This record gives sequence, structure tokens and C-alpha cells, in this order.
Amino acid sequence: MTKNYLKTALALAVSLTTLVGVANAQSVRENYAPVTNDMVLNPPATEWLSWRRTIDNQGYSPLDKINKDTVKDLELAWAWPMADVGIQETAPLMHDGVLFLQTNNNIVQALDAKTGDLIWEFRPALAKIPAEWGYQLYQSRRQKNSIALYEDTVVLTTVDARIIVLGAKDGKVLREVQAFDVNKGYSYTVGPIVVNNTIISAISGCSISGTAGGCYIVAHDFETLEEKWRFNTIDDPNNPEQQASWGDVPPENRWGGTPWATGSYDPETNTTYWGVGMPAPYAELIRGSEDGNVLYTNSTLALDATTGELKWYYQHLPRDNWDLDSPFERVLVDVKEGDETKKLLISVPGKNGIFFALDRETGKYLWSQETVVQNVVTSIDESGKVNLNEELIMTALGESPLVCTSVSGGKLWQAGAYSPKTQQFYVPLTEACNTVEATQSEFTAGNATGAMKFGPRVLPEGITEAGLVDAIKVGTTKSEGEGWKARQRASMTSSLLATAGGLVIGGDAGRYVKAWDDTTGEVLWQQRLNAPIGGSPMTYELDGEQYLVVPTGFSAAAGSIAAAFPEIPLPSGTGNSIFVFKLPKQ
Amino acid sequence: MSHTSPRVAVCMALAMSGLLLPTLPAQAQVFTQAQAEAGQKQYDGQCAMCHGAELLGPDAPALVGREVMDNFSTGAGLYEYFSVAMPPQAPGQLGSETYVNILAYILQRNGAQPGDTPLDADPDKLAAINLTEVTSVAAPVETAAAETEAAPSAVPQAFTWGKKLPSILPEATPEPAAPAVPQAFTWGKTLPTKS
Repeated sequence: MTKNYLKTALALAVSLTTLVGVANAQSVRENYAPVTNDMVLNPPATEWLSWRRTIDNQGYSPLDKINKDTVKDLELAWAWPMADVGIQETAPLMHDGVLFLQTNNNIVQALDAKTGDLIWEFRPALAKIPAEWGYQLYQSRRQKNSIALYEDTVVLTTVDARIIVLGAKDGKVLREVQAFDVNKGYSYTVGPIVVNNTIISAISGCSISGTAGGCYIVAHDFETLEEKWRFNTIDDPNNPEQQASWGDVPPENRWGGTPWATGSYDPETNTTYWGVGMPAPYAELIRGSEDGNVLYTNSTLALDATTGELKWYYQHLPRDNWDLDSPFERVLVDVKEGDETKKLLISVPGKNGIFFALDRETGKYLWSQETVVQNVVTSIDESGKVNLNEELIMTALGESPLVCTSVSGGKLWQAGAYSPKTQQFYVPLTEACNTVEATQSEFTAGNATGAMKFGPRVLPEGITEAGLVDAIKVGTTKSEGEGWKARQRASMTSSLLATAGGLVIGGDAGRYVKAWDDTTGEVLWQQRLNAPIGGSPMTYELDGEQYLVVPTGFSAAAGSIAAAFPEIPLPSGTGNSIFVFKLPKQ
Repeated sequence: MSHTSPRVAVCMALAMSGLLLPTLPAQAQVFTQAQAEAGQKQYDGQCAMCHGAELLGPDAPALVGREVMDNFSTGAGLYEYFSVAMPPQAPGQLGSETYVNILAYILQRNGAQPGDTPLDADPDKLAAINLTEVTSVAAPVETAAAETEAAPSAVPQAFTWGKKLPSILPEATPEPAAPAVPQAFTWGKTLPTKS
């Protein structure tokens, strides 16, 4: 009799637990509160609503329960496998108890942010491209921060160049638009900003042969998905200087100019800021542009968010000959100096690791600072004119100069984080150089137009450690003797997160997630996980508990420099996952 | 010269005109079948997990294709990269014999023919192997799925495509074929040579 009773009780308990789990996911699903425009501009402190939490791209959280004293007590709350393999560049978002994850091949999941249970999963049927289009296939399996949250939807940009609006409660498709022609090679790499009922996005794939003549930042109406405006980064008929900067090369032989980091937005001036990537072919010897600066490649663009008109541009690396791509995160920062508030745009915009501070109202260059070893930029004038080492510019086939930084950075897509508490910008970097050699090759469908051979990545002379976290003091002028540098053998592989708890959090090719003291650079906590740390770590608070989400997985950047730290072998599998930490309950 | 039979004369004429196949010029056969077979096993064990069983990726870049051969341009170009940097789990640690075998396999997958002369790691010999010449990969066919729009028939090229560029390379760059697609701005132009 007792045995039966126990069995029944157990069965009842198990079924009740299951019901509770389902009921929780159900209630999260049903009661999801819309993300309002005000929230986009000013997210709740407990949430993470866009790639860098806020659309000024700062990557800062005001949460401080996890802080310099408590971080050593962090415990694993739960972990979750990514739904697909590929380079781990995910940027989880959190709103109203739901954690949104996107992965390669545009799979989107909604998880219960407390338990990690799956609420829904969306898997699109993607356009098939031929197996021979190797470069397009390779580039497309690296979706980053591909989603944005707006109202009760999730807005997704896809590898087959669509914008898809999903219901946030159930992951069902509400509407979609084919924004660009995937058969030419266009493909979204990054996700959009959604603000003022407008989806602002930028297409990628612009070094693929079929996309000659145009790479774009584009705006669509959030409700109707009608295109409102587009801005071509390599062909601006309104600007004769831009046209002249390509020499005799007509638009149909121009490639590149890809804006492959999600832009930022300033509501006070209704301006959206985007970074633009390198020209292709990479070397002017092949490109045919002679000594032209090839605008607007490697520039910051300030566009009117309503009309798409260009307000100003600043070129961080003119006349690129080495694929020193400069599209990375443009961060909006206000600093108080005396009675004035100065409105800055800060960035380490390019692979060569040089930090820039600009006046974001005028585009005026303020100051710059090197981080990693680089040999291409010899100086930057007070006017902001960038001067190049012309000896590194190839003038004949067969020349193969050694260039620092390498084509894999320096700096890459992994974003820095700005802390308004310390007024410092924390940047994840890799020390690396490579030889480059221009190649004259016939372009084929679906493949790249870089026309350049790169040697293996090697450490710069005199450097033994590949990884660097550089803390740069931000103001209208360069600060001497402030900030800090933390060096280590393994290269940095994830974005950084800065918090009010005084921590800078990120990870490396050696599979360590670390928390650095934001003032001293001392490592206060580390945990070894299953694979190189990847994507953009983030944090949120739910029911009074603060969670830290750490993505891990395959890192192409780590693979390319692994020879510099052979004593730290990389795994041969991928292991794409997220690990979620929190403090023990009091 | 003694009288040559008509049959022999015809064969000689054909041989001299290059039409007597399948004998390839000696310099096009730069590895042995044994090396390529060993290389396949080693590739499958060390490289395929990222570069794909068919060398088409997609987790790591494709190793088959005209673009790949053109870009690395010589055997040395390819060997110098991967014998130092690859595989990420043991970079530069596989031993030169394994790297040579894997190079032979990559060449074979790109259409190069095996012969009697083994491939070896000598930098000068590797530099003398022109990847485009020894492989016979046709330009990829532009197939698209039935449900998508028709792919464009011409592939845009660099502005300099079709133009002769200055070069410090030991051999003259091959005369480019008449381009069927838009090319690089400098294609076909004579560009300065480093002296």
C-alpha cells in the first residue's frame, strides 16, 4: 500500500513540475510586454535590448550585484547549446523574462531567461546557393547580432538578404521583405536598429563579385517593410569628391564599402552613425584606383535617420591596400568638461587598432591613440588627415610586404565597451602581422574580389603575448598616463562587457571567461569553459538576481593566430553554447 | 635522316603540335598518387572538420576553386600559410611530410594530375609550382536553385582584369583570356615592375 502511495505521489510531483515549467513558459509567452520606442531609447536597467544594450553602442550595464567583491562567487546557473555550428558571434538580448538567441543560418530561439527552457524556435528556409560559391557560403555562416526587439516582435536580418519580422511570443513570421538580391552575393551579416518605427540596416556580401557598384545602409518602414531610403557607400553621385577618389574606376568595378557592424543612433539630432569597411580589390595595383582615397571606405558616416542624407563623414584609413577594414562599432559618448557636455563618437573602428575620438555633431577629428603594433599609419595630422607608410603599398605583382596589423586584426568585430563610471573605453585586441601580396585573378560567381594572398598571422617582433585588453581614458583630448593594459598569451575572442559593478568581462582563445577590475586591469575572476569565448557577453537581472551570459564556440580569429600560442591548443570541435552564471542565493 | 614511315611522321607531327594526349608536360605533374592518397587520409583527420569533406567549407574557407588557386598563386604560397598556421588544434605541428601530402591532395582535388615526381617541401621547388597552371579547375558553373531568380550570366571583374600588370615574379604571368565578364580596372594593363 505504501509503495503504491509513494509511486503515485512521485508521479504527481513530476507531472506538477512539468506543468509548472510549461505554465511558466506559457505565461512568459502570453504576458510579453511590448518594447516601446521609449524603451529602445532608454532601456530598463535590468534588461539588454540591443546588441550593445543601448543604441549608443556602449555595451555597459548599470547592474552591480555582480561586482568586484562578489564576482569570485559566481556559479553556473545553466547552459544551453546553440542550435547550429559555425563561428560563434551571437549577441543575446533580454526583455520581460525572455532571452532571445540567434545563431548561424538565422535560427532564432526564445528561452525562459530564468531557467533556460526553450519557449520557441524559428528556423527559416533559406535560399540555396551553389556549393561552388565558397566565399559566400563561408561568410554567411557567421551571423552576429542579427536580431532587434521592437513592440511585440523580433526583427531578423537573414543570410539570404531578407528582413523578417517575427512575433516575439511565438516566433511566427508576421511579414518579410527581400531587401537585396541574394544571387548577386548580397547577404546580411549584422542586424538592424529599430527606432521611430523604422528598421535601419546595412547589407553585407559586398566583396562578392556579383555585387559590384553598390553597398548600402538602408531604411524600411517597420509596419509595411517599404524601403524608405538607401545610401550607397561606394557610389555617391551627389559628391564629386567621392567619385574622384576612385580615379578612373567606374562603379561597376568597385566592391567593398561594407558596413558590417550595427550602427548607433542619437535621438537628439536624429542621426544614425555607421562604419564602412574596406575597398575591394584590396590593393590599388589591382583595383586600378591609383593613389585615390576610395571614399567612403574605412569611414564613419553620419546619416539623417529620416532621409538617409549624409551629414558628414570622416575617413579613418584612406587608400587602403591591405584589407585593414574599418567598419567596427561606433560608440556615442557624452562627457562633461566643466560646464559643457561634449558629444563624442569614439571607436577603434578598424583592424589596425587605432582609437579615434570625433565630435559627433560635426565629424571633426579630436584625437587618436594606437593600441596594438601597427606599421601602416605613420601619423595623423591635427586636421585628422591620416598619413600612410607608402613603402608598404605594392606597385608590382610578387611584392609581399609585412603588414601590421594582420587581416584578422588588431581589432575585429569583437566590440569594446564604454563605462560612464570610469569614463574608459575597454577594447579586446590581438597583436598580429602578416605578409600580403596582390594577386591578379579572375573573379568567379559567389566568390570574393579581394585579389590578395595573406601569409600566416605572426606576432609582431618583440611581442610574445597575442592578447591585449586596452583601457583608454575618454575625453575631448588625449589623456596621458591614464587607462591600463592587460596582456596575455591567448588572443581575445569575444566582445567586452562593462558594468557598474566595476567589472570588464570577456574571454579568449584559451577558453577562459575573465572579469578584469575596471580601474586596475587585475583579473578578479576567471572560469575555463568548453571552447573559445565568443559573441557578446551580456547581463540582465530577473527577480532580484543578476545573470551573466557567456557565449562560447568556434572562433575563426583564434584559429588564424593559434600558431602564436601553440601551448594552448584549440579544440577541433565547435562546442557552440551559452553559459549562464549567477551568484548563490543569500 | 632516314625515311620515316608515314605513321611515325604523323605521330611526331601531332606530338610536336601538342595534340598527342594524354601525356602532360612534365612540369604539370608535381606530386605522386601515393602522396595524394596519404594526404586524403591526413586531410580527413586534421582538416575536414572545418574545411569540409569536399573542401568547400563552410566552417572554414573553401580549398577548392579557381579563386583559391589564383589567390595563393604558387605551391609555396599555400604551403607557407598552412604549414605554419594549421590546424588550429596543433598549428605547424604535423610535420613537413604530412603537410606535403595534404598539399598534394588539395592539388588533386583542384584537378591537378599525379605523376612520377614526388612533391617536396623545398621552398624553391614549391615556388616554381604555378597553382593555376597545374590545376584544371573550370570556372564554377553558375547554377541556382529552380525557385530563385536566374543568376547573371557575366561575372564582374576587377578594373585591371585583362591588363598586364608589372611583376617581379620569375615567370611571366599568363596571358589572360578574353574576359567574358566585367573585369578589374587594371586587368590587361601593363603596370610597373619592381626591378
